[in-house]
Amino acid sequence: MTVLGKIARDVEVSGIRLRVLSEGQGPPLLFLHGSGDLGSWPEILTDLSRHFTVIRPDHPGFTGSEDGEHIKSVHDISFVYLSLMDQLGLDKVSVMGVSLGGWIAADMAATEPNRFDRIVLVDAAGLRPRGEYPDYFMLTPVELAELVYATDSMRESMVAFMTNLESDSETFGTYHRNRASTAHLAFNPYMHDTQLPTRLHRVKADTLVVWGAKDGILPLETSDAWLQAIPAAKRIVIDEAGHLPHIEQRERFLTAVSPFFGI
Amino acid sequence: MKIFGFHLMPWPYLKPEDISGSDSSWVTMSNALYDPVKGHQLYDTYFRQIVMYDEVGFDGISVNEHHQTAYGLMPSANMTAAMLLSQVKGTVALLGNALSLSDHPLKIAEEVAYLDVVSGGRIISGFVRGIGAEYHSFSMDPSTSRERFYEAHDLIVKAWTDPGPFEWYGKHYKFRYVNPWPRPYQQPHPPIWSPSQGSAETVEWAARNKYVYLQTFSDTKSCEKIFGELREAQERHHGRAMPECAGWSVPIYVGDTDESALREAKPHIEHLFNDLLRMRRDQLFPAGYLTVESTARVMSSRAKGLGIGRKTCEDLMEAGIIIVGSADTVRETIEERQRQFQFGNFSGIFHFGTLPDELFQASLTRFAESVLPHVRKLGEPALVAGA
Repeated sequence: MTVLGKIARDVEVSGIRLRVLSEGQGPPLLFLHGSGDLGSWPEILTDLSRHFTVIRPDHPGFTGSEDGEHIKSVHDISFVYLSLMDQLGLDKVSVMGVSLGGWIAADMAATEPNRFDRIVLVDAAGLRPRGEYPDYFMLTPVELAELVYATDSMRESMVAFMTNLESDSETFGTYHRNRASTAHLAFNPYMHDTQLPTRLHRVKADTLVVWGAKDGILPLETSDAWLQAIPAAKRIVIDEAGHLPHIEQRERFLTAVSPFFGI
Repeated sequence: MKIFGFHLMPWPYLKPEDISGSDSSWVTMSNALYDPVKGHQLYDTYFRQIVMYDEVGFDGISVNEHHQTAYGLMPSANMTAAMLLSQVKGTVALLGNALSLSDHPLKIAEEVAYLDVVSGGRIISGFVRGIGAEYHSFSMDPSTSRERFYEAHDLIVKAWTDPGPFEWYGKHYKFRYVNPWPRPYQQPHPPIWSPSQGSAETVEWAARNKYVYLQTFSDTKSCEKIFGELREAQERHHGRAMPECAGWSVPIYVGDTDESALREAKPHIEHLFNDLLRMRRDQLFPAGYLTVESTARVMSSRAKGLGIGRKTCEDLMEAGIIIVGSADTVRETIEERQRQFQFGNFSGIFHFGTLPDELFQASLTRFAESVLPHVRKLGEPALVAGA
């Protein structure tokens, strides 16, 4: 792995070619993206790459990775990523997962608890949502954009991007495929796994639950479910942020997670 | 050609405020709007209307299934057929069983065989994927819909034709014992129909298997293209175009004159297309229901899509999605379409939206007296397909 700059490579794991981006040096930090992610490298990862080797795979069925015929659940993806860790020679990692990625992170940590150092779950799916929440699968791209961010400027730029989504066939194709892959994992039960709460007691690593105070996709109340399932977890709520606080309030987010990561 | 009468069994009592109070007549429109006492009377009317198709001399009646919607109140094609079987002499077409919405294809194999045996071989077995909105209604993964459709179909046909018991361990369905009793009356199995709005893959699949491909709710331009593709695929697979394996389904209203027909049909047909078919785009096409390519194609022409954007009766007539007119106009239109599309099966939807019973009866009577005798002679007779 190079020290400077971001590198992209293809890694074949369990018969699936995964696109893996990485940057930085230091102990490994696995970043697991959300369902609406179109393959970006958010700035927060560059921030974290000053202290970690940040590793960002595209999930099977998403953006630059292949589908994987045998993938039927988030639990199946956990095994792919545990094998990816084996293949990259990573015995133990810290993991930060957003939304769908948080679900995968929690499932991995319940499956092989000893391989995780610190866990950050950001507006994580995986447990039954609480409060009033929309049906992600009913939303058009623009409706989704209106709900993802809490601040006007972020919302407006996202709406503008999504309004033009269909005119860019490659990006629309990625959006469509990622959404279909999300449906495959999370259509029923809606965005959660009823078995996950029965497994989370196995999680050993220090766990931080971070949530946008105004999450319009998975309401803040949902974070209570994570604290109940992982009683040792701590929670930090990011003000003026929606579903993606690491993007919408990057500096506040970094300030919030730095002590947890010891950076 | 063979003439069938189809019914959607819509809920006709939605008030304007019910419609404006919801962004869809599917999935989320509250069933608090449903009144079971009115529903009881309505089923009585609708069942009489379907039986009337048989009485006026149609070759068959067609029933289907829809779920959690004011658009159609038949939750089961098989149950509806069972209730009607002894009341009609002709064929009963199940159009169809929504394979990918069912988690148990063997139950469909058993039920259709059951109906076929009881009826002495009067069953047509249609297979569909189900409307996109119904994946929301049943919380079924839309991304594997097509795979499950094909696998369920393969399993059902094998269950009907191969002696059991045998094992089935497919990607989506697993059975230690496949061994349905009864087996179908018609051998090797009831004719299989494939109702569709024109997916290229479905056209190819139906042609390859000698199934009746039934085009529904489509404009003339699309129909010409799709029936052309169907003939081409039939010629490629079987050496000839097969009109007996082509069907066209269309809403029809026959009035005394073109003017009175338009006046009488207009509010009811517009209710069907604008209010009952209305759904959110991501209900119509849930994530993964269509391929990336199809979605891009559909999105680019979405203004034309049914269920999205309002249509007038005149728009629908001009596009060829419906036929409304005097008996002469209706007859001439069907003759012309038959020449263009070359179908051997015709399925008329004589009830639509809020159409009152007396208008339904008058329209169907005019059709039976002045149109049916002529159009029946068109094209080649439909053969039993699916062998």
